[in-house]
Amino acid sequence: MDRMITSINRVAALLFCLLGLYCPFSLAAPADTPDYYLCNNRVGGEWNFGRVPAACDVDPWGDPAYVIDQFVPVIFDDNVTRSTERQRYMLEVHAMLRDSVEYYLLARKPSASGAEVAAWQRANFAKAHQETFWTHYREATDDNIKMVRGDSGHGHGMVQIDDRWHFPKLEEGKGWHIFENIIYGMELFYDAWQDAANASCVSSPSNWRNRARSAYSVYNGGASKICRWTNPNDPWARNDIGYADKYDSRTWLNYISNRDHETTLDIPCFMEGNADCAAVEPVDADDPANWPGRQINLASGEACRFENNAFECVAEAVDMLCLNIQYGASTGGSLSPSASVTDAYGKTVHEKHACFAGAVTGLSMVGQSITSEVEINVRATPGGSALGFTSQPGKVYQVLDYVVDDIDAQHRYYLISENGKLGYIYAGEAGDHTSWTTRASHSGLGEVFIPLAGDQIQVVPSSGINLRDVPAGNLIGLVPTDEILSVISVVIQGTDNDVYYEVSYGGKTGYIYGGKVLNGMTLQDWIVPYDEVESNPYTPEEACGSGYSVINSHALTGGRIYLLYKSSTGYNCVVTMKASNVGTPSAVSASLQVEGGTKATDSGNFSYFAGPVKKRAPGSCVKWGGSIGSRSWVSSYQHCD
Amino acid sequence: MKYLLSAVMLALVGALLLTAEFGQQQAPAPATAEEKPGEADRPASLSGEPTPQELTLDQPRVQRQSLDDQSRQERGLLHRQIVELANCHQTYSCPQNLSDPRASDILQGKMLAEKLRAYADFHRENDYFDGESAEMARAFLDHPDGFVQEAAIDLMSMQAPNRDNALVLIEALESSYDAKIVNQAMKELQRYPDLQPQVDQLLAQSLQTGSLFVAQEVALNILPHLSPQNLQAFEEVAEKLPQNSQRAKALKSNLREFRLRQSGG
Repeated sequence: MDRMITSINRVAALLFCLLGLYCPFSLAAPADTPDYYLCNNRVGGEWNFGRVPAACDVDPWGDPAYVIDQFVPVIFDDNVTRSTERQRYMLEVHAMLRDSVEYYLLARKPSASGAEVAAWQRANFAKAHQETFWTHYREATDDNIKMVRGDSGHGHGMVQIDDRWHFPKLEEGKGWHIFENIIYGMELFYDAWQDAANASCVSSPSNWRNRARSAYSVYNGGASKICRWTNPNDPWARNDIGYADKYDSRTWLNYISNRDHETTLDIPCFMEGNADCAAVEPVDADDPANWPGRQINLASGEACRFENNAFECVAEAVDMLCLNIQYGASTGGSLSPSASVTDAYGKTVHEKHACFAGAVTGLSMVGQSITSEVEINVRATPGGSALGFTSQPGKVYQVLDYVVDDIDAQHRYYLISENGKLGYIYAGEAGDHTSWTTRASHSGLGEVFIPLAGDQIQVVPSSGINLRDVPAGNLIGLVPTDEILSVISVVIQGTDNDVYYEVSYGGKTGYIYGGKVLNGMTLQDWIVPYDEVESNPYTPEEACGSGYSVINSHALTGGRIYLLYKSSTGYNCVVTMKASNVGTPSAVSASLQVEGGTKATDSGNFSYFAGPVKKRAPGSCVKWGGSIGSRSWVSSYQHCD
Repeated sequence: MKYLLSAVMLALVGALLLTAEFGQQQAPAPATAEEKPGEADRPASLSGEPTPQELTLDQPRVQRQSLDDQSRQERGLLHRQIVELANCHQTYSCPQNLSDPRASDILQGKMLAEKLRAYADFHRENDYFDGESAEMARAFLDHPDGFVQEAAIDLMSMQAPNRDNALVLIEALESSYDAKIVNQAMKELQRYPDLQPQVDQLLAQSLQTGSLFVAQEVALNILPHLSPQNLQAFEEVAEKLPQNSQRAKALKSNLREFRLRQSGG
């Protein structure tokens, strides 16, 4: 049976190639992925809208539960009568594509005319037809959520991102995630669309048909093929002819009963990179009578409930669950009324961590430690792209962020550090979360990102850190660099998970800022855990040799990078001194680059330090840095004297 | 077309440089690895006076001023191969692969990137960079193939700051949709504080009307480019962005972090 399916698919793929769609042949490529790589439970299809062959499970590329949660309207259901389902599917996909491509063009070119928007939409509809007959997700009869895999499994998603050329992009989700997929396709197509406006074979920028054909020639053949469609003898002319046929015939319209149908997918939300977007309801968003019980997205960015004639909000929609727990389950989807209407009402923004505290059964908060009870896929976002590795059973992790969805099940995801990368793991729901992770002792952590009460910390910035009466409050003092402090308590607040440490210094007790976790972690730029600073039998001066003096240093979790200078010779020296796992070989490095010269690095599994790396640089700037485990740091060019 | 012109310019400049006279080679001091404690017994150097090994390391390592004949020939060969490959459309000599519509372009890009990396390796190993190597990087900074662009930026970053190259890079990034390239370029452009106004303009444009993926990448990595001089301008950009967008959230987050750094936390 497997052999038969394979043979059928080969014939079908060859036919598809001859039709000018995509071809099943491979060539030597940067990523030599085999045919149908990571393609589980493959199924066939038919050469019609929504179901071209082949399709493979979304898992392990993405989380099928996430797809069901977010994208139900655009999943082709094989369990429904085919013709009925195709009509429904096309109605929904048309609405999604229509609004998405319009959003994209206006985001890139706000001045685009209505005529250009319409032409851009048509050009993209034809492209999606040419690539995959508008196929992306399917729920097959095996009840698994699948995504289209064309070209012997190399092409991923509606716009067919090839795993031989774009493997890193696919790892980021630009294949399985429908919005990532179509945005990536549009990024390439828009570039070609812009170039086509000035192509010699396009008589004017508003010759939309020829512009679309040129853009497709580039999209299909590469940057040098912008006028390929004018050459009937080009080996790939059939592709251009096929595209033009689709552009002209607009066959998709035969399946769309209402071109003005509104999608329930929140297009701006998904197009702007948000992972969790509540369904949009087709009611008047500006009518306050429609607000109670629904998620109200304010133009200022907050997501709210409308309670007692005022808005109760969280800063980001992803945290709506804590409000829903407080005010009762949302009875509808989301609405995005205009600011001119909502500004007339009062607004209270609830801080995320205070809102969630104690609200969700068994939820571990930021800074707390958990033990992974099983191997769990680590993903770039909650339910998002798999990073290719799992958590380790029995290993203790510090929770760096949490996301909870579904008011009944209370699915929870934790941000952890594994394999040198940050990623989210699924950690079960209210009824089974202890099967996934259990609360652990802080002392069991191998890698501490956020020290807790009782720990010691060391101040990193060379200018010290302000001491304030409350987190982000009034200034009451300054704690100098390198000062070692005992943590009295830790406060996590805000959507970036800002960390504040309560400490005592100079007879005053207050709070110092300790960096943020999200949108670019900066924790190690502010403080490092001091209890990891074990005694190292060597000093930086000893490591570099006679005559060297420390002129700068930068703390990393697990040690410190030192820059030393020997004035008699003009030499700089960099060493990274370990302060954890001292005496045991572990990954550590030191690097030095003189401006205009090459970078020298010493790296390996060393017991005490990496380096010394030395370069002569009198009168030149140097860039110095190093790493310990998964933490690394490098300076800008400095010390130019 | 812009790229092809650059390649022609590269050929001309290269031909001139290949005919130039070069001085005598000054051999670089060999790099000697020091034994570290923990891997063996504690070396004598750590107790005080430098060891002979350390003295070897301390010999002045001066960047070469010229190449010997053999190295010049080696570089010339690499140079010619790159130029021929870059101009292959004009000479109808491009590598062909008709198994896929993009295969030929991808093959050409792959070969170009490999040659550029070999060219960069040659210069790094010889610790020798000059006007030709700067020009070589410049010629490919706006190449449509991301692998070639990446190799060109790597070659640029090995060398002393070059204002002309930076301006070409900034222009190339204006229409880029490759977030990885933009991230790499943002790090490189930190070496050009004199060009910060141009970089600011590029970043502001990328955030507002650039590729959606690039805009997110810029917002996430903008912190090293923020300064008291441009803070207000980027705050205004943040307010113009869709407020529920990841680019707005990341930009606002990093603006706040910058203000905290300025104020001492």
